[in-house]
Amino acid sequence: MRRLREWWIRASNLLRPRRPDSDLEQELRAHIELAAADGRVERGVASSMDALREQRGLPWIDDFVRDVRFGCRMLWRDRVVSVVVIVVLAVGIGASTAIYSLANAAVLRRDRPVDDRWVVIRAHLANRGPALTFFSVPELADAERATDVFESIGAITGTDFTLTDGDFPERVLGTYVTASMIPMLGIPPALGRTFRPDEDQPGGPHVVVISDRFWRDHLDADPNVLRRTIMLNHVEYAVIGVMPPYYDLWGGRLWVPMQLDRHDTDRRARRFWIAGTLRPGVTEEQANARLALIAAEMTREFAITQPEYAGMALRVWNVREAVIGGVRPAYVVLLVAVALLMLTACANVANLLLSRAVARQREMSVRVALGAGRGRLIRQMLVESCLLSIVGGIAGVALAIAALPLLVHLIPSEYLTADPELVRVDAQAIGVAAIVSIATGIAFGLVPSLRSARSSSAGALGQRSNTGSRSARSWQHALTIVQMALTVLVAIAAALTIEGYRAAERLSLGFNPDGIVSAYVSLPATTYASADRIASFYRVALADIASHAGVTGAAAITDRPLGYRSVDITTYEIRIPGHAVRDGAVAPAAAFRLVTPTYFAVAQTPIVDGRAFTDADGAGAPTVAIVNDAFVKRFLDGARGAGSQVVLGTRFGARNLAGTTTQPTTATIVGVVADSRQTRVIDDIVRPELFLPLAQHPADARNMALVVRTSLDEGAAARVIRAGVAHADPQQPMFEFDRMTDVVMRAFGARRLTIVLLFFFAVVSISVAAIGLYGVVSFGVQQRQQEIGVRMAIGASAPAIVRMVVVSGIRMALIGVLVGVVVGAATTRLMASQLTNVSATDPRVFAGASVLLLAIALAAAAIPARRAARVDPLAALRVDA
Amino acid sequence: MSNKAQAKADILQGTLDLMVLQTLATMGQQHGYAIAARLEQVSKGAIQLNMGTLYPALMRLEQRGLVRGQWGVTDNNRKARFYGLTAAGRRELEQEKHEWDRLAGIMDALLRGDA
Repeated sequence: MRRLREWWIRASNLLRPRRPDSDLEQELRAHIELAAADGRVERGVASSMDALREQRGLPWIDDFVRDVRFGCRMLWRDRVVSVVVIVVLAVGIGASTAIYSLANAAVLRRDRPVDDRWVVIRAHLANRGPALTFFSVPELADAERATDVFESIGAITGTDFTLTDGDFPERVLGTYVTASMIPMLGIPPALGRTFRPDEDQPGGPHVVVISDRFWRDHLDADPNVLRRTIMLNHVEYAVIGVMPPYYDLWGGRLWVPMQLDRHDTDRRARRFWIAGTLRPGVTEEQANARLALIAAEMTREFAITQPEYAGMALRVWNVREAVIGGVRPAYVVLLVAVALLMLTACANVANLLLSRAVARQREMSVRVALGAGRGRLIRQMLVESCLLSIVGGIAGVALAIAALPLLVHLIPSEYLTADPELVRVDAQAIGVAAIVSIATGIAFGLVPSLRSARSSSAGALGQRSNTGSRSARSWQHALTIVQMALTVLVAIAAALTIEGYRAAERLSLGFNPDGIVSAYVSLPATTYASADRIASFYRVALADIASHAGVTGAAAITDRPLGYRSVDITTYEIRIPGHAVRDGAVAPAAAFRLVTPTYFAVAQTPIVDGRAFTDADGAGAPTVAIVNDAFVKRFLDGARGAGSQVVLGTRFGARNLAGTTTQPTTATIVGVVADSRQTRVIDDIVRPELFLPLAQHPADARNMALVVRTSLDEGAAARVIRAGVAHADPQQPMFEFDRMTDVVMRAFGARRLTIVLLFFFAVVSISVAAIGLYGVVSFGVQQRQQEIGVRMAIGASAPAIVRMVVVSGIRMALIGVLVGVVVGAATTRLMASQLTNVSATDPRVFAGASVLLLAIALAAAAIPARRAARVDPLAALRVDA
Repeated sequence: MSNKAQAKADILQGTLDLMVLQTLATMGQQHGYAIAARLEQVSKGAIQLNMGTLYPALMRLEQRGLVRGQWGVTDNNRKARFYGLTAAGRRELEQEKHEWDRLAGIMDALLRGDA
């Protein structure tokens, strides 16, 4: 206890101003004088001073401070090496920290306490491709019986509201939820409350819970917001709650109770998703097994009325997984790339430190001879390497903080899956960086220091110090080889990704995005009940837009190419008279889009056969269709498309899994257009597609994209489009104005980002590896100066010396490249998800990366080799002799 | 330092601290030489402190806040650092004295064979 207190006092003395040595000495001298006056002689000023100094502070802290000071001096003496090490570490740690922060925000972090258990239910039908997600009230009731696996369950669906408070109507993304939905996610509102069950009944009150952003953007963050109302679709809603910042539920800005009529027995009225939280400990397999029982009951009970239940499987799908599943591979590739970069950097740092340790062997020997303990020497070396790594780490974190906003700016929002404000270098990332730096410092300071301390204790003073020991050399060689191998891996991964992207880019878009501005409209069913009203809206709006100067054409299409609706567009089961095509066990089907006559001209999609639609293809005229190239290849055996007949049968949609069987219509194919990329999934194959004239199917045209070819800039074009729409209906909002070039950019953006970053990593890795090889070879030259001198003295020519040195460098590079290629061949298959247009073991890529690396290795070895050839034999022999 | 030597030094240190504190309590503010001289005189020459023992002890006491030192001038007009007891030092002295008495009593009883 007493000891502890004294330590505490001593430690705290470190922080107080301490009596300087001069003061202590003065006191001792005064003592001697006083003693002399008494006729005595006192001695031992020096030893007393030592004892006083000892008493004054904690010896190990003093030692540490001395080590740090000495370390700084040493690092300054070798400042070139120090700067290289710090830069290499800063780049490695900076890149890791930035990418970690990004990945943390995008795919690693759990936003909700229930993220692991939050699922939606999907129906996998026996004979239809994609899983379906919309369900009806009776089906919700069926799912709700599974209380043994679900903790809570409810319905949710996104919708557009028109905010009619302001000067002009504005579209707001909203979400209908049952009362159970918000509470099940475990995040309480920041203000007010969420819905009570009694508010979630048919005819219940008009109440709304709003997001933090809506509160700030539209209600000026009014603290008394709970007494206010907002106008949605001309109806007054009372605000009852505000969710906390960054709260995200189905991407909506506000939430409204779904007010389902629980007495509804129509199993086909599928209007919402079913989402729930699994009970803690319940696995997805268990939930699926339970749902299988329910599906079996449903099939048994409703075999006659609901034939679509036959063979149906209900399965849960983790919501978080659904959101981030698509982008995870890109982040995994990036994280692996930074890990490789970090490893390369570490190998390099170790190598440089090892080289330096060899160079300082003599200094160490002197210190051992003067009585320094082995532990003391190791500590000294560790302090130095930790100093380096800590400075490197701090520089790296600063680099990451500076680079992250740029990085975030580069990423298309749909690939971020997190609010950009949430992407930051947080304490966790800094903690990771700190651990990495200190671990690097210790790991890569320890090896050389143990080595040199061992060899020093052998009394190496007498030896020629700069020949280096065999073990140091083999360590260095091993590290260089590892570094080369890692670099080859990064180079191969980068090259493969870039190849894949270029291959995908070579596939044609099928339309010309330059000069197209597009936006969506969503006509509400309440005001657009009749087909005529819908048709006239587009007629008036498009005519007005097209009449403006600077606009060369305006058209409408169900979804623009690469648009977000393309994934669940409605399909028709089709039959081609005279062709018995079966798509596996499934009847052939094709997605359809409505277009206005000028669409293909506006998009500049080539018509390869037949004609485009005209204004004559209207309501009374014969039913016509245009198909894409993929349709002809798949269903018409490549025969001439135009002139064929197609029978449009049952219609399916994401909300219409049973399908609507109406009287089949026969349409005449009047034209064939070139394939366009449809979805924003860059590697997706182009599916068979039908285009139908809007004028013949106006009832399906409530949600359309307006596509305008113009020479105006985006802002002016948006004003023209708004004016045209307002001309047709002043109450109708528009959303998602976009230049088509931006849409294309975003669609391919994640891939592009991966490429830019991988390319960057490859360049950095290769430079780091080149520095490493250069360092080792030049060190070898320095160490072998005498040997080289002797060789030259006995007649070796300069070219022979160059050859000898270069071969020693290239040998390491060659082994490293070989190892890298072998490991690469075994592991690149893991990135197959990123590589759909290129083979994961493309020999050209492997050969290219190897040759590049060897060429750089050659250059890195050639510089010191030339220096070696210039060695003056006499001077070399005299060195250290 | 071996454990045994360390233990011995600890005892000595504790005793020395107590002696210094007591000296300052009886004599008031004193410089180091005067303390050493006084101890030598009281112990009839049995305790001769060298500088390497005395001054670290004074520094230790100062670090613990038991004494406070400041530069002053002796009767003979010489500069010296004078040490005086602080309030904490006085308390510590009382406590240590009490402890010493108790220990001495126990040792006495034990060694005289009264137990």
